[in-house]
Amino acid sequence: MESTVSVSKGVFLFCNGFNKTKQTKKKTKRNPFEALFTNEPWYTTYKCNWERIENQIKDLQNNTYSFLVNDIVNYVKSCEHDEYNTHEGIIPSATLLTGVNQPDHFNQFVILINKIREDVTPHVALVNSQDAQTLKTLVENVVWQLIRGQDVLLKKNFLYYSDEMDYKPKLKKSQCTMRSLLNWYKNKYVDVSPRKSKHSQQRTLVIILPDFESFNSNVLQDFVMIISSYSSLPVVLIFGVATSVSALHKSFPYHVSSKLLIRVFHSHPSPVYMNQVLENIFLTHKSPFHLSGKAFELLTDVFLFYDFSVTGLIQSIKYCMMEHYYGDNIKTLCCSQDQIDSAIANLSSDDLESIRQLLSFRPFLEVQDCQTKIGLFEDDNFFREVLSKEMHKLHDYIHSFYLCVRLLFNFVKDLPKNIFGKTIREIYAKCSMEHITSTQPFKDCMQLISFQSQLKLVDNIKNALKEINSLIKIDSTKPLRSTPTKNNINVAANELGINFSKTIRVHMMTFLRQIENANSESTVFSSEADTEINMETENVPASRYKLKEKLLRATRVEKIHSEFELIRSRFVSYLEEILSKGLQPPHKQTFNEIMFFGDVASVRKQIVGSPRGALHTALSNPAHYLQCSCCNIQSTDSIMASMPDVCIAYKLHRECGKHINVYDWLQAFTAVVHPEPDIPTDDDTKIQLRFQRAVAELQFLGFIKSSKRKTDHVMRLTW
Amino acid sequence: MEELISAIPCREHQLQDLMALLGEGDEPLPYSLFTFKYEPIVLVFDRAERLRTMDHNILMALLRLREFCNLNICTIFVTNQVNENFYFKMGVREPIKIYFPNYTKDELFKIIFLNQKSFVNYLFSSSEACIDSRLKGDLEKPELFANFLNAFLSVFYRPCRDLIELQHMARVNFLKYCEPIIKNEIKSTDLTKLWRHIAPILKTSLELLYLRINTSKSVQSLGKENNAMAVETTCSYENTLKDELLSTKTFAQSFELPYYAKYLLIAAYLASYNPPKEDKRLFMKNHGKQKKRQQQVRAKAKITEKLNTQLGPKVFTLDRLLAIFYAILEDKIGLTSNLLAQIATLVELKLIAGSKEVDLDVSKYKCIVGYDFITAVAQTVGFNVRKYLYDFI
Repeated sequence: MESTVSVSKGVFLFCNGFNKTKQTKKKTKRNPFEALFTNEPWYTTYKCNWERIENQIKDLQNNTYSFLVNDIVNYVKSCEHDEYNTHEGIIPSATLLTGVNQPDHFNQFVILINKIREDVTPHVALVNSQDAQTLKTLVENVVWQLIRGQDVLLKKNFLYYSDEMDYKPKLKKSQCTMRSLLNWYKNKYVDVSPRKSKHSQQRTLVIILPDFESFNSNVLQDFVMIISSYSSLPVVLIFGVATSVSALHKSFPYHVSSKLLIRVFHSHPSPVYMNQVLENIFLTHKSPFHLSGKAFELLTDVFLFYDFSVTGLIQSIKYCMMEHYYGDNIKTLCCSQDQIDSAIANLSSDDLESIRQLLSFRPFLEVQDCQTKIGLFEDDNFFREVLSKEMHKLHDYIHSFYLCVRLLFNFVKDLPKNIFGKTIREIYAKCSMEHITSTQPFKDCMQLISFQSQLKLVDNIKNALKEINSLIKIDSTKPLRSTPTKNNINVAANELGINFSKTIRVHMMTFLRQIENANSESTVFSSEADTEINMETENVPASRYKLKEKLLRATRVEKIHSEFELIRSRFVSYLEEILSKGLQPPHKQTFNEIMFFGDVASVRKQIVGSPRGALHTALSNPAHYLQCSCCNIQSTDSIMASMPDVCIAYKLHRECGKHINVYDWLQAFTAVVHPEPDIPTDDDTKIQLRFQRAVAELQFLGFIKSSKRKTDHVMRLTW
Repeated sequence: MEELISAIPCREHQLQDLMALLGEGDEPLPYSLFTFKYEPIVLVFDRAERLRTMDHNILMALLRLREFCNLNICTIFVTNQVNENFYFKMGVREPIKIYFPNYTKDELFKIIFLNQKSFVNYLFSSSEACIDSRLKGDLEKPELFANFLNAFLSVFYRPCRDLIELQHMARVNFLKYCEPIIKNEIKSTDLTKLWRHIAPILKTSLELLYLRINTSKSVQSLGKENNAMAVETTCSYENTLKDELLSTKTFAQSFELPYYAKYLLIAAYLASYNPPKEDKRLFMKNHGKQKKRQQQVRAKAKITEKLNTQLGPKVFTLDRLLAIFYAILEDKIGLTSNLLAQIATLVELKLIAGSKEVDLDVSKYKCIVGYDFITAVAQTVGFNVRKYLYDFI
């Protein structure tokens, strides 16, 4: 099957090999966008990057779901053998608590179905609530899918037998009843099995209802009762429940629920899943595309505040990516590090010119001397060289930035009060918006770390080391790093990148060793001090003056740091140092526009649609959408005769209260449309008609409605 | 006949009555329902109460089917409702009634005891550890099962008379009853110890009665990888599940909703349980002074029956919901499509009743969650519901 990549969502038609003669005649339709853009370099870069991300997401999905899916499959398998349940008409059923966002779980169910098809039984039916408005349609759908399920599998195994399949009389949907299912099942398994004996065992029939809440509960009740009366069919039900198990109990009365044997499975809560997606896929240095702090915050806010939809989040990120790449060849540089050089070589001089106009290029330019400045502008090749150097620097910076984010997270995550939040994404959002090390909360955090106990500190450092090691390991396994000479230059210049992480590792190791060693000595030290004091207290008689002196001395003694404390303070200052080096905010970097996406305003408009807002602007300021020259207005309140009638009516109605007198409204409307009342014309009826149409349109849009309480009045529905 | 009676235990009387009515094949008419000339046809309608909601005539027609079609035909209705529920039209011939009373405790005991073998087999199949033959013999002893059943019914007979349910619960609990015996902790003859062991278990499983939730771990252990972890998680799930079902509070907290959806739900609750007249006073900062009149003072002394929170939810419109939503939400946000979609989601999740289409003009909603639930939800966002409820001011 041909893969489809499209800029927008779409429905693609595939020939499934059903009719081969036709297929040769038909040209496979290509996506028009793809045809248009395939030659553009930015599009290829985008495509390749997005595919990579998509694959990563798929892998992650499979990993996260695999546990749950395995559990369910095992359960279904065990139901197969459990003979006790069937002869009392009890249906084993699995309840999968999915969490509120149902469209997200579609993939989960698809994976589940595939797994069940592979491992347990080919007969799986998945029926959505839309397809089951009545009991009849529900049963039809279920039976049809169950019976055809075998064919789907057969098709997979014997592709070239596909013509033979047509011999079978096609099953009409209206013939799909439970009785026909029973007959079919008997033919298939019960009657055959004595002859073939063991190897064709009875297969379970699995029915999946992914959105339990949306089903009509009466339909479901009857459905369950009907299935339970066909006790010779080994049916297993799987419900996807969004809220909680009690939803099941609420919608099934006792006589129904007594026919079920429920087992509950919990799936991951979607915020956890979102964190996983973000941390493992987008918030790493390997991701070619980065979101700036603001854009990132917008997307996570949409997720947390509105919909909890991971699919939605991924689609929004995809949209950001498209927006980022669209029509801009310099964005070809936004790729993985080993492709930069070739990408730079492919840039035209026009592209280079547009790079020169990037905002972040200016501060970079200012620090250069005159000669280089001229060189940068005149000589494309020289500029290319500088560009590649800077891009590598940027990559190194990103590398160490994410490392530092993770480090900071590691040390901060279990501090009291959650100053930076509990997840990496929160820290990332903060770090990428401002220079975090100069802020007050950061200082507070460092102070808190400097009070941490030895054990805790050792633990944290160990975890941090683990993090760094895994990072370095990934990098070293990567076969193609950019040429070593260039890398060295970069490191010498900025001390960022992979060597940065290596030095951190070395330092961390030494600190770890020191802290661990300091352990015993410091306790000895303090205990000695204690004994000294104790001795003194015993010797000296209790005079108030002496006591005071002694206490003073005691405080002084305490001020002398133990070795551990010394090391700890040194460690904290070191941590501060490296973090302040690594956590420079991205928007200060040269050429950050290439790698970071920050056009929040445009994306916000697209992602967070606001229908009412759009309607309001359209009606109150039509020039905004019409882009005509006639309707330009200073303030939104002013009305012009050249506007569309609806707009005029809308604006006038905004001046009224809850009830609007239609006659007054008409008068106002006439006054606007036809400002000279002296000249009597036959326009009056025309105006009245226009007015009526405008009012009808407003009613259609839902702004007003006719009221019966007051004659000649309409009600305003907006406030 | 004998076979039939043994297949359905403890129903001898009813079966005999029924058979007597149907009569022997060669008996003359007055004594049996059938004449011997024709093969009799019998129609049996299970859950006959459903017939009442169908076409009016169907029940009558079925009752007089024999007259209508002049055939040797007989209809039998099976229902769990009293006969009086079927009186609603004249012209219905009174059917012959055979009453099946509830099983008594002894009967239940007898019936469940008949399945002793299957219980023991179930026990053997679901316990993973090998049981040596001596223990097996012990476990198979009917006295052990009888003892268990006595203990079990003494706890469960009072709340539940349903045979299927009791059998189900007995199966689950018999496993637990035998656990210490298999582990050699308690001897199978030591009845008092066994009772002490099972009594608390029975009490806790009483809470799960009728819920039909299968919590046996045998399935989990099939998963080879991460066996220990899986078992651990099921344990915790069991606990949370119980909590979830027992109190609405934990139930609501276990519920994950997006932030604004929670506020929408709270707003819906407030809209449902506050009179619209009081909105201005509750949600506006400067709502003007309230004149205290005698009547109001008297009204203040509220009668609990008249409390809005006790009376059930009232219907509200979409714009009222949104107005309250914006009034209780501190930060300013636009009315976006995402927000409107959340209302539909809440409807779909059956937290709000109403139509799924978000329409300004016609849509009417009702909040269908309780006070406990809403306070728990409000707690998660740090919002005080009582402050905004008219009843509590």
